[in-house]
Amino acid sequence: MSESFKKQKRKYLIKSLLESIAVGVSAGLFVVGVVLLTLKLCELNINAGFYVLIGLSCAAVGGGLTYLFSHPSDMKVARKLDEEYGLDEKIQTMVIYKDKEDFIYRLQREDASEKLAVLPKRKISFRQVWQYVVILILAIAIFIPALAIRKNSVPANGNDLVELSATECELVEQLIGDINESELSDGVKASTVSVLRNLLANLEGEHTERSRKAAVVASISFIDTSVTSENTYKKICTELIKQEPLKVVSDTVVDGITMFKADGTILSYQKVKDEAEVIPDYVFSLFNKTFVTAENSLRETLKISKDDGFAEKLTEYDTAFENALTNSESYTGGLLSSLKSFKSALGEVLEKSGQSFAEATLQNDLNAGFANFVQTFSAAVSNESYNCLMAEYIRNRLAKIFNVPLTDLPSLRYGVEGGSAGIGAPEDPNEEKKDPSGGMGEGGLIYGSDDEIYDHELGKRVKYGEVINKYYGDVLNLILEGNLSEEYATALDNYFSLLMGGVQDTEKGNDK
Amino acid sequence: MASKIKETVESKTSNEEKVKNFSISINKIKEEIHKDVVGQDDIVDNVITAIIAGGNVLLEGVPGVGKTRLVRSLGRTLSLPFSRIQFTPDLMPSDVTGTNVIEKDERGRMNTVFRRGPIFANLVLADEINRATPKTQAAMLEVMQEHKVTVLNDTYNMQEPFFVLATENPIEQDGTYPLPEAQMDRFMFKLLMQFPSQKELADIVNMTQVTLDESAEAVVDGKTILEMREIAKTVPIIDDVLKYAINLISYTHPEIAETSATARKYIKNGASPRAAQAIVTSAKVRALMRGNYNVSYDDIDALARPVLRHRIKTNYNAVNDKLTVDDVIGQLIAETKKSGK
Repeated sequence: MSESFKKQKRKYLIKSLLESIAVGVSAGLFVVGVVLLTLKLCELNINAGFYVLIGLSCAAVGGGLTYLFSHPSDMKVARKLDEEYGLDEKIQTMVIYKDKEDFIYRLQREDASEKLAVLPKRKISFRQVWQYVVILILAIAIFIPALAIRKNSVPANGNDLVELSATECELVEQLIGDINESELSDGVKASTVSVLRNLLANLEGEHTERSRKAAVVASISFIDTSVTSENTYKKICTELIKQEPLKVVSDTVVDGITMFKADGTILSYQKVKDEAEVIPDYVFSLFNKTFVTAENSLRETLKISKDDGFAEKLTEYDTAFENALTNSESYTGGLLSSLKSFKSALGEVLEKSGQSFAEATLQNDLNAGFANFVQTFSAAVSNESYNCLMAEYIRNRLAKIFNVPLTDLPSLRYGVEGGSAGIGAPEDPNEEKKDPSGGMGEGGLIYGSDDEIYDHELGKRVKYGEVINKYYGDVLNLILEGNLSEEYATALDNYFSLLMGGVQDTEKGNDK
Repeated sequence: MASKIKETVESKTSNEEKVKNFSISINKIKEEIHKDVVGQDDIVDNVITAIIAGGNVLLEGVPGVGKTRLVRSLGRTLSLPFSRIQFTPDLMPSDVTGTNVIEKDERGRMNTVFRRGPIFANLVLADEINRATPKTQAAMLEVMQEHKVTVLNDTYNMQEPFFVLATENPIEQDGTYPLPEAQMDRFMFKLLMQFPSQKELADIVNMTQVTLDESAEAVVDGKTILEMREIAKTVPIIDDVLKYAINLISYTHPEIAETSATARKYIKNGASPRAAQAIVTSAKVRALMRGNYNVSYDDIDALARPVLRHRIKTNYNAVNDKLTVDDVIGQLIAETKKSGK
């Protein structure tokens, strides 16, 4: 074949290759764009390598098919040249009879080659390539938005594998530092730090989101129990509430504690320190205020003469304390000591009650007793309040570090069963007695049944709501260890999450 | 052996030269003819094409447009003996072909001698052939087809190249015997000689004021024409172009299943296979005349009307739609191209 024909054929070949590349690239970009967009909108994720594979495959198929259909054979090129340059089928004749040796064919080939040699340069017009430009633009128009659109910010699929990041480790270490620096007791510090270090150890390597969350919640549950285990106010206040004269004491305690109710705002150790500074004064002022009322009430009560029942009234208080303290014997701590000391002071006054109340000695003893009680009791409540503050801080930080919603955490209840709303709230004599068969909790949310169950570890029947945290922690451990089937784990997780979040009591309806 | 090889090489070389000289020769012929004939370029081209292709031409034109002058110039240019036969209704076949006569020789004995008729020439102008009786037409057409005359069991061959240019007067149709289709088929082309344009008419008048003599000179001879004919036969035609030509002829037949819509609507009778032969043979000559060494679609298109206009018969639909036979052929060409060449 003549050199000029080969040259022309090369040009068509290059054109065909460029067209195939354009179609291949367009096909690859288009398909990847569509797949990427679809998966993003469906909140699904696949490895980036798959996109590359899909793109390359589609590009290869698209480009290959295009080349297959468009690649120029000698006849195709001849036909195109004849049509494009009006060569009267010279080139086609030359190609078809290229092997003929008769003089006429030789002359025909020479003539065709001469015509090919003087062909003008081909200019690529837009008319020839517009369709390739259009498909390339379309493909880019799909691909770029697909890349740019952000995946919806929804919680990751619980089955996605996640690794413990360096940032998370660092933040947990910071939290451990805060705990060590805090005023928690050494025992609580040690157990809390131990739980956090176990958490880090357990989260090393790849875990699903579900198991990570379970581990974090379990740790929080342990820490809640550990930190607040030092608190005795609930149990003591439960006993105090049962004694009519001492209800006000319980209310004051609860108010002092609930100022740090879980609302997610204690997120920094600085905030803890700032709040801790004001606890003692606040609690002190609360008690002062309370006991002004109590004191005045007691003083007013005790203004009566011996003949009018001073001793009996004092005995009433003594008896109330006696009853409350009898059931609290197993508890230790500042609260109990303070109460015992106050009872003791009142007891001494009772012994001297043969003397007239108006006498200065009795008055002095009573005043001293009250003053000492307020001092020691408020200090003890401040301590316990600080424990609650730290518990709030630790759980909020952990939830923030590991991106666990607060609503998924076990509830940290401050209330006391049977307690009233707060300081100064008058008792409602018409308030219906709480149905013991309902759930435990305050306001309109029920957190767990107040039915009693037998706890084999304690060896006695306990209210379910009191042990639910511990049970939740045990279940979370089992989930983390992978000893439960996926289905079972999901069911248990959902069950406890529901209980921890509370169920609306349709009778009340207000959430505290 | 060496002389044979030398002969082969020499003949090959001379063949190439002949091909290269083909269009030069044609241009010379045209140049000479146009010394005597003003305008009518297409007619001159097609007549030359038909001569070289070995066909005959039916020329339709009003009197005085130069038909006789054309053939006479052609004869002089090609160095070929020329004769003219004016057909009339009383013309006998023997008036055309010749007849046996009895003559006394120098010894006084009576012998039968064949006197050749005017048909015995290389170029014959058969003027107003449609005025002759069918019998005389048939005698004429037999010679055109077979290039020989048979008179009383004796056969006389025509000298090649033998070419007949027959004419028809489109005006005077009274007392004429239109040629039947079967005989029309023997003409390679039917050409329509138009009245000259004003400029051409002015040139004709100016030229003939000076002299009525024809000044065309001989540039080729009969042998050259025959050589050119042989050369033309070797011109290659690719299958696609051949298929196109065959499709074009096929599409003139309304009775064929895969025919054209034009044929179904406008044609009563289609062209014979001679049309396909004529169009391909003449297309090869035309290609060479234009300096090409292969047949193109353009060659087929250019010769479609001369080849087909006397071979197809249109029906009343064409008359109703005021379509001439040339218009119908134009539609056929378009439809053939559209069908995918």
